[in-house]
Amino acid sequence: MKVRAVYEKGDKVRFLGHLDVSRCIRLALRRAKWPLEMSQGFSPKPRISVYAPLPVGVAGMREYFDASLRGRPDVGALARALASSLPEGFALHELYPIGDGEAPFEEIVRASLYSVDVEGVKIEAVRHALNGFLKARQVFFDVVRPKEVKRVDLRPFVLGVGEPEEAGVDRVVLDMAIAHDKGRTVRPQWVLSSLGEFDLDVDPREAIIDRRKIIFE
Amino acid sequence: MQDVRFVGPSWDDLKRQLGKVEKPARYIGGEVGAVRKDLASVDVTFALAFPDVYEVGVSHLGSLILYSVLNSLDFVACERVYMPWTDMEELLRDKGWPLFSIESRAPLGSFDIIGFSLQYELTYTNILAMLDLGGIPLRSEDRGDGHPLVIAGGPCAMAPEPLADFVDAFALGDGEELAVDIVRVYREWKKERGSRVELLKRLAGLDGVYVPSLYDVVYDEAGARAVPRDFEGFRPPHVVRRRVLRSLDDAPYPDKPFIPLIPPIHDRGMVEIFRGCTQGCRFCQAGMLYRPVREREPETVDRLVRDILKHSGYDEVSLVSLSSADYGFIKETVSRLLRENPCGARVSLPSLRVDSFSVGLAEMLGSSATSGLTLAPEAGSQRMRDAINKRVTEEEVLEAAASAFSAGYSHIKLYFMIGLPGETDEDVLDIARLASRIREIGRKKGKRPTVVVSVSGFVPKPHTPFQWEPAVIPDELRRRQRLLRSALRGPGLEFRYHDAGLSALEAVFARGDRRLGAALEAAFRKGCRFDAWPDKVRLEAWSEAFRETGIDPAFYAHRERAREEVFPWDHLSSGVRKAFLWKEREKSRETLTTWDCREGRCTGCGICADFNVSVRLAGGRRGPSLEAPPEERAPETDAQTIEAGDEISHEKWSGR
Ligand code: SF4
Repeated sequence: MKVRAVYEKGDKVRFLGHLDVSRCIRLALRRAKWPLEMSQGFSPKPRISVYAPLPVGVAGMREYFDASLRGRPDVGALARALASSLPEGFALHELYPIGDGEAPFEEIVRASLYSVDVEGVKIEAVRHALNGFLKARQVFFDVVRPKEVKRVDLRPFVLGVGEPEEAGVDRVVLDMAIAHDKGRTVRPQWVLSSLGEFDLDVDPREAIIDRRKIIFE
Repeated sequence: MQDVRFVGPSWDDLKRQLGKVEKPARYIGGEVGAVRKDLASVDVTFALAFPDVYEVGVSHLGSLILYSVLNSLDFVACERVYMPWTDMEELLRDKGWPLFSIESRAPLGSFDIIGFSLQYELTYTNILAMLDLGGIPLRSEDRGDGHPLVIAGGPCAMAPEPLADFVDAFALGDGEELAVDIVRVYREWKKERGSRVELLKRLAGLDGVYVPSLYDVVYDEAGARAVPRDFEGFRPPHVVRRRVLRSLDDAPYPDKPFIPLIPPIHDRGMVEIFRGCTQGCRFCQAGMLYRPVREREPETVDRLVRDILKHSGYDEVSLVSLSSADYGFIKETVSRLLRENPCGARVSLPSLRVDSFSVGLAEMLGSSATSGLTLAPEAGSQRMRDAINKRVTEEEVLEAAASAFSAGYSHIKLYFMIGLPGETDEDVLDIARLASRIREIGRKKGKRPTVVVSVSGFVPKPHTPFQWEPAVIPDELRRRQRLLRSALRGPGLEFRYHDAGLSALEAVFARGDRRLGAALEAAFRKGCRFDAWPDKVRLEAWSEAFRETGIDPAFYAHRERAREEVFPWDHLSSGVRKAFLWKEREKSRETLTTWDCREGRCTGCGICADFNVSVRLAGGRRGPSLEAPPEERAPETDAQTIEAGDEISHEKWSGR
């Protein structure tokens, strides 16, 4: 039997990377004594897929993982056991069985809806920069990886940006919808960085970013 | 309302900044099973400080044990602090934030007691950095009533003089009971609102506590002698003896350890199956410092494994000790764990011996398919192996390798040391010969073997038979590395080695005296941190620090000591007698070996008689009889001692 979990990577655990999150879930499932189906081979691993990786620093309110289980255990009992085994900062929102015929997760993800909270900026400057960004046909950004620098065009990934709101003195909060294209997507931090080209001086590392939800087709 | 003393940076402030540092999860805590008490409502707050990064510190078993022991006391709250990585240190300084604890984010300086874990000499600058980041005066003499008590324990506390100016008290030996004694004394003293000197005097009255400020050090031709000072009628002991647990079986053990949210360097459960080792390798400090051997009963091991796996969710458990194949019930324990397989977990054994028995164990664990096998012959020639008392013959090494290849391994890693006392170029080249023979065996078994030769520079350590020996100078060590490298060329042979400069720095501090404190502080001020990390250590800054403080590092690292020399750690007793160590060194020069007392006869190291303890073997097996330590032994027994060094007598060990 396969189940899908909707969980939260909350504020307190936002600084975990994707592999850390997967490890925390795996250990929690074992503590919760889920009857996990194991892969074949020399070092069997539980069949768990944790989807749509979030970068270090970004929290996620409705995230997803699937697990394959032996037999047909009671889903309510599984949910209770897991909810009490997850580390502080994680939460389980939903758990339901899914069929084998389900389309692969990465194929049906269309977009991520983020909320972005930046300090030390004026709302007018944010509006101005966003307008500039949205009007541009291409906005290039260099992704620096250990062995290479990859140039990506951010513009097509940014589907829309909500009206910025003032959340305090020089503090602005806004929503951002970012596309996923066959597993490819871009980070909201990159978009913030690129706003420098439109006269917004903001350190993306100081932004508080949450993925509010994942949008499917 | 939170007590203002305990307020570090707020989460909201911190989370806007943590995105700027590498692996920010090092600083967020939140581990499953971590203990968080209200710091304002307990009598004693204790910061367990580990002078290395989070992932290393959370894997340290001794700290896990102390954390659970201290938090089991209702009047104590124990939290953890790790050395921040250099980027985080910069951030803390930039923001004016104090170094804070993982659980409550409380400033280090707000704790009553800070207890450092001293595992390795090359973490000493980190200790100063942590004190400094905590806003705590570095030197004990500059700390007053409002400052925390700074204590330290662990193997390096047995020769702690380079840190004597910075640490108020050292805790020697097994910490399970001693830590409790210390916090009790502290609580009493705090209630009575005594002076700081009063506290130090009371601590010095505890067995196993060394308070360096209560001793003067006299330096002369005889060496560096610590002389107890007279304090209004109170005189600390001439010799402080390390604390030794009589039995491990009833000692407290963390069966619900905290589980870090990011993978520690050892990402698995750990059960200590015994403490101490009497194999008697002459270079090995741990083998001298943790005597006698005390085994846990197999039933206790079993229960701990189950509890830890259930609580943690780990899928692997490691049966930890200094030489796990020596555990009396190792085969039974491993097969039972594999058969009953609690929670479907793997079992791993660190530090296996070089013999077929150990390879058989590794094979049982099924690691051949996934990983390589590590063997530690330590030296390439029989002559050197006898000199260091690594009682394993070339045949045994080759047999072990053959069993490994038969068991399906194709990747074998061999650990060696170079720069050992009395080593010649031939001995060094024998390392290459041994590695090639092992590769040949692998080829004959139809494999395409990889033999990795990993070599470290020998560092003489206090409380070992080699404490009188010089460390080889870095240039010479490098020459021997090159010699070995050139002999190790060819397909299937890989060579790895440690930086010679690092070994030399370690050799200075391992046998240092109090005068080194000035150099240590100078190096810290020059920005030295993480000296054990080859990409972080700054050897030029260290040279400057030595020069400016008038310290000749060679005096500490590269000088052969006379038999009579008084060492800066002679007033701290591990239980193993200096006379025994000297005798072992003499035997080393004659390439005579000494047996393991677990084989039935005491070898006279002295601890059992002097400390009134005994070897505790599991399952009610009899330990060695103590009747005849070698000093008093009749001549014919001494003759046997000599026999034990003969080539033929190696037969004796092969069955093990
Ligand atoms: S005193 Fe004898 S029996 Fe005890 S640890 Fe030393 S050698 Fe072994």
